[in-house]
Amino acid sequence: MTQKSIEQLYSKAYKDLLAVNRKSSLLNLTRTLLYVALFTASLLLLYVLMDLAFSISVPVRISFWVILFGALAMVVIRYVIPELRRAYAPVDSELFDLARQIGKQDDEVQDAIINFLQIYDTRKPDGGNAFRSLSLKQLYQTFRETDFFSIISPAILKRPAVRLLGLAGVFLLLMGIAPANVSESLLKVLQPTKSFEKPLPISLENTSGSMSVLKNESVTLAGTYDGVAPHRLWLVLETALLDSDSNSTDRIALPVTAGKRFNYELNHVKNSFRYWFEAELNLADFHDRPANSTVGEVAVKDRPFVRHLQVKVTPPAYTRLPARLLPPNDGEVSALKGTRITVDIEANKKLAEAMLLFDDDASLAMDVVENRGKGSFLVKEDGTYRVHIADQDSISNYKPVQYSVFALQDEMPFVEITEPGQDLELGNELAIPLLISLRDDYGFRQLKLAGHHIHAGGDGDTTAFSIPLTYQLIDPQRAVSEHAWDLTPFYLIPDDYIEYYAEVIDNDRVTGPKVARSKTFVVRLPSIIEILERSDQEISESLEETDDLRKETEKLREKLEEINREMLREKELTWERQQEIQAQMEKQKQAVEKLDEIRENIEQLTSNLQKQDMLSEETLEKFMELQKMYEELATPQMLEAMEKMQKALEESDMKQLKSAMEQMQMSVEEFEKRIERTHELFKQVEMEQQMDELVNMAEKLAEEQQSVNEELQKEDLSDAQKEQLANKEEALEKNADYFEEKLDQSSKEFEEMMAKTAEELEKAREFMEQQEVPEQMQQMSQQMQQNEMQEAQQSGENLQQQLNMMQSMMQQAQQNMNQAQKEQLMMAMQKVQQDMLRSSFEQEKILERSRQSDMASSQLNDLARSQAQMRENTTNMMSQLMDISKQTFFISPQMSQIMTSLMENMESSLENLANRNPRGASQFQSRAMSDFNRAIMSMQSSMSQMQQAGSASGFQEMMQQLQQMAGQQGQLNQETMGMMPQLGQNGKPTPEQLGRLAAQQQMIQEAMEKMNQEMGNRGDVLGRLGEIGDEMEKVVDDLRQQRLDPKVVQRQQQILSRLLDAQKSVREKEHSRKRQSEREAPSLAKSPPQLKKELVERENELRKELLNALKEGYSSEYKEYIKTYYDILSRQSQSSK
Amino acid sequence: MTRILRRSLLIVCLLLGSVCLHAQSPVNVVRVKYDGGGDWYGNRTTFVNLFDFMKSQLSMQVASKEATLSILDKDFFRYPIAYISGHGNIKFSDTEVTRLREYLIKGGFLWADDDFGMDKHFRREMEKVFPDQEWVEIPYSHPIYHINYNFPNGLPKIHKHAGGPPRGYGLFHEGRMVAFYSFNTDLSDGCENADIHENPPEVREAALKMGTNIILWALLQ
Repeated sequence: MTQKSIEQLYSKAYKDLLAVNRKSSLLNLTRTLLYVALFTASLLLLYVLMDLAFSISVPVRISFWVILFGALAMVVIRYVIPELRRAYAPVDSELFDLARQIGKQDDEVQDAIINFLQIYDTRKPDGGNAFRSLSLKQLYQTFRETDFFSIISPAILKRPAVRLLGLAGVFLLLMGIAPANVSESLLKVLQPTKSFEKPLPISLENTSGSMSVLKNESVTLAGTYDGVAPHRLWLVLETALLDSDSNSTDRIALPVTAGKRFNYELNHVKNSFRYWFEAELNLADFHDRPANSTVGEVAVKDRPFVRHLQVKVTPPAYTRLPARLLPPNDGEVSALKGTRITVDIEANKKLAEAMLLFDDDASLAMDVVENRGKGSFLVKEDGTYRVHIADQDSISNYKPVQYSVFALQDEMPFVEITEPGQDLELGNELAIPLLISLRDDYGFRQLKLAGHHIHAGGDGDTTAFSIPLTYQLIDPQRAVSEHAWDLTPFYLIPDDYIEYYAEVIDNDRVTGPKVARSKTFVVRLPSIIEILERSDQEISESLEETDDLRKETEKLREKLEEINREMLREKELTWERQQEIQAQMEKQKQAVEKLDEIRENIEQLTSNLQKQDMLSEETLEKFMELQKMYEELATPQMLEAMEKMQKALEESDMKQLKSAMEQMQMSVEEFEKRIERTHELFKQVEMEQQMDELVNMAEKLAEEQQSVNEELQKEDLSDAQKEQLANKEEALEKNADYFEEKLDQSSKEFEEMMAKTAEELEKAREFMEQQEVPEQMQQMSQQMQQNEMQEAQQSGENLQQQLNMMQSMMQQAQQNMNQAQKEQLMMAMQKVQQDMLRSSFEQEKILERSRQSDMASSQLNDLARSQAQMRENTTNMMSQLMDISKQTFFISPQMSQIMTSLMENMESSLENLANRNPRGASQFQSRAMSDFNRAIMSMQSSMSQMQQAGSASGFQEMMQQLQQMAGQQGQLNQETMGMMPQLGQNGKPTPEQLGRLAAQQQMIQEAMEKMNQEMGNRGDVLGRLGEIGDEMEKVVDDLRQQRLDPKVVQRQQQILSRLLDAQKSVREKEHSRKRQSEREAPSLAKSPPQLKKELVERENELRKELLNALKEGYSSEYKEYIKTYYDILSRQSQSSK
Repeated sequence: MTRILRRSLLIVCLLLGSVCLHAQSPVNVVRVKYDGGGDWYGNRTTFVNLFDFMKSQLSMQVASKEATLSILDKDFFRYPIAYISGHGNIKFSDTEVTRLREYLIKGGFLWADDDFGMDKHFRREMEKVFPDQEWVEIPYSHPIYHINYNFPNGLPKIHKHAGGPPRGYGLFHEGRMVAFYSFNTDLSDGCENADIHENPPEVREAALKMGTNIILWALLQ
């Protein structure tokens, strides 16, 4: 055998051996690992059992791992590593051992393998190889068939594996019995360093969990517990602090109940928080170990709220009021109906919706942008509203503020007829100047004058009328309308009347225009007979009353004389005497009161007659004078005497009483004389008034007849018109009858005092009788009724002539009377003038003598005496002039200035003469002379004017001119107002129109200046008239320069107002008493009706007595006592009921 | 009544009156403080002036200034006269309504003075107090216009207000006037300090006189 084949054999055997070695090692290694596992499991089981029994602590559990790791390290070092090395890097000896083990498996092999290996390793280079090869071969042959792997047996794994399985079974068993505990124990083993405590015998559950709530609302937190009953139960609240990262914790004790349920309600939650429940146990092991529930979270959300509210109030357009903002956050609205209210809000957070909710369940969505909302509504009636808002989470605001809306009414307009402002009886003028005042809170739309014309007699037919009126705005709320109401179109006949009122419509466009009416007034056309009879009766009554008063006063005087005589014998004042005197005083007081009544009656009568144009100017003046006389009848001396008597009576002072009685007696005597004089004068005035009436009646008869005649001339008269004319003529016949009767009556009454006038009146009556005027009128009326128009015309013409004649006769009679009066006044003026002339000559003489004298002249004293006498005479002249000037306007104011200057110069002359300075005196005397001459010239001028004038006073002329000017100015004002662009219907006025207005204004201005000059610049009479020349000039300028604005209109109104004032001033100057009564503005208010009886049952006797007592004139202190006393009585009376 | 009896009465009055005047507390008025938003507090100087006027003209013992209380105040019934005024809304609660009615029925007197604007509200609330009664316009002949000062045409006109004549209304209970309502004139403003409303002296005097009449009537009726 070759070396090569030996090598191959060896290699093969060696490899096999290595493979067996590796396999054997790995098997051993597996067995080792099984044992390790078995060890570990055993150890684990041991610990689990220990833990279950004793709850092993951390050190014990750590020891488990120390032992385990220690054992494993030892196994690895001792077994695993050597085995692995042996498997992969065996040493020869290990292989030999393996070979030996293999050999032992087969007897034939025995050590063959070892030998083979050893022999192979022992080969020598010296030739012994053959033997060795042979040996090796033989050896190889021996174990060639041997299975090396037969020595390897997996059975070695069986034992440890079975044990391991047994151990696993034990584990499974334990897990089945107490899985939690076993698992926990296993966990504890696996986490040796973790401390595992003893489980609590209670568990808490948080049933309310996490939730969201609204701020300030309530939240209920609830839970349950299971297990042993806790010793204490807590609710723990944890809130994040705002100013730090830390939390604040509150603990709230909860009651422990048997039901194992608990809860707690938190009110007004403000902030978010976490919470849980905590239970404390009263067990030793758990003393420091409370049980806790799971943690819940309560998230608190804010409600939205209105942070800022702004309300804008926009009144309806027609009011022209600007919109206004209410103060911030003020939503209370008081506004006119139709006002738009815009509500602007800002919320604290972003909004999803905003609404206005009203008390009538209506709602209005607002426009929403982010956290703002805006909405608006109209004010229709009183109510309330709220602002409802909701945020993105649909959370709404809490109890929104309720604001009130007060719907203000557009007030009713108000219209008042301020002029005439009372019922009227028409006089001659068939026009009434109306002044209407309008008021409304927001302006006007229309004004009209409306009413009914109620026809006299018959069936009381009525005709309605309505006249639109223009008005001038004073300000947006007020206006006036001046309108001269022409009643001619109504064709009024006596006893017709018109009920009229003003009606204004405001411009309320929201609730509709409102209409207001003024008080209704009546204007009536009385018949002449009615007026005259009434006035005659009133005059007659007043005269009778005055006569009665005179008689009463006479009795009183006699009684006072008697008392005075008796009192001379009496030393003491007896109660009876006191009463007697008191009674006489009462009578005198009543007489004084009666005087006032009569004066008021005369005043009223005068006013009525004047309205009917039934008084001539002269008679009117006398009536005024009469009133003044009545007023002055009760002299201050008499009133003083009455007061003294009263005082003496109260003090029971006999001496004082006697003195007062004497004074009283004298006063009453004077009073009696005055009454007598007044009575006589009254009778005279009555006659003059009758004369006026007759003249006026004659004039009216002629005018009416003329009017009928003119109507008759018309060709196309209808039957109705003819009937109307016949009626009119019939009415004239009645008037003519009355006139004739009146003539007869007056002529008899005039016989005694005015014989000449009586004669003239009788002649007139005879004329009427002879001409059969009333009969002709009746005939004419019948002719018209029978359609005999030509005959009627003829009768009419005859009648016209006769009535004209009658009018002329009456006027002549009156003129004769007036002339007599004028002559009387003229005589007085002439007398003064003559006195002035004489004085002038006297003054001239004194002047001449003064010039011829020196300081040492013996004539100076005589000159001074003469000058003093002159001064006295001049004083008398001034007094006479004053009296005359009270009766006529023709004495100019310059006369007063001249006379004042005259007096001053005479005074200075006298002073110089007294100082023996004749030269100085002569200078003043010269001036005095000059003054005399000026006064004479002025007087001459006055007399000349009076002679030319129709009346003695000139009053009529001035009034006529003023009336005319006022009328023209009024018309001009109307035209100007009509051209105002904003007031009138027309467009802008043309320059020509304005030029015409300017010319008219200038004409009035010139007329005014002329009259002013004629009247001698009498500022005292004309009031402020003299000041308006400039105003007129400004208006003329403005109009010429095409300026037409409210200022011009206002200026024109002032001019008119001053012209009217001037008329009033003239009247006032003439008749101050009359003016006062006219000035009393008629009050629109009338007393409400009397209270129903049941409402005033307590107005008992006590109260009446109280009122009476208070009127007794006690002092305030006494009055108070009286009141207190009655109060007490009254209360006692009540309490006793 | 005869003059002798009057004189006898006067003597008795002198004795009784002096005792009574010194024994009784000064006459005073309570201003009603109400809800609703209206200005119950206006016209601060009205009663100061009115009381001064009454003191100087009638030698009456009066307070220096009015008291101010709500109707529910326990002392409200201590005042014989209540006064209410304002420009705006007035609201009485149910309790106030009951108590005011009780006050008026038991002898109290209410003077309401419209300051312009309270009419509607005041009438509405008073309707609750006396639903069975109506305001009656007082005729000019009624003693309230004549008790001490003579007002032949009724209430004097102080301020324009709604325009037109002033109106005086009364509310009666069992024959007694329990309330007087001065409307469309403003007596309270008229009684205020002269420089506040710049009323002419005669207008102011008229207001003070009418105010005096009302107080006297309330005390003596």
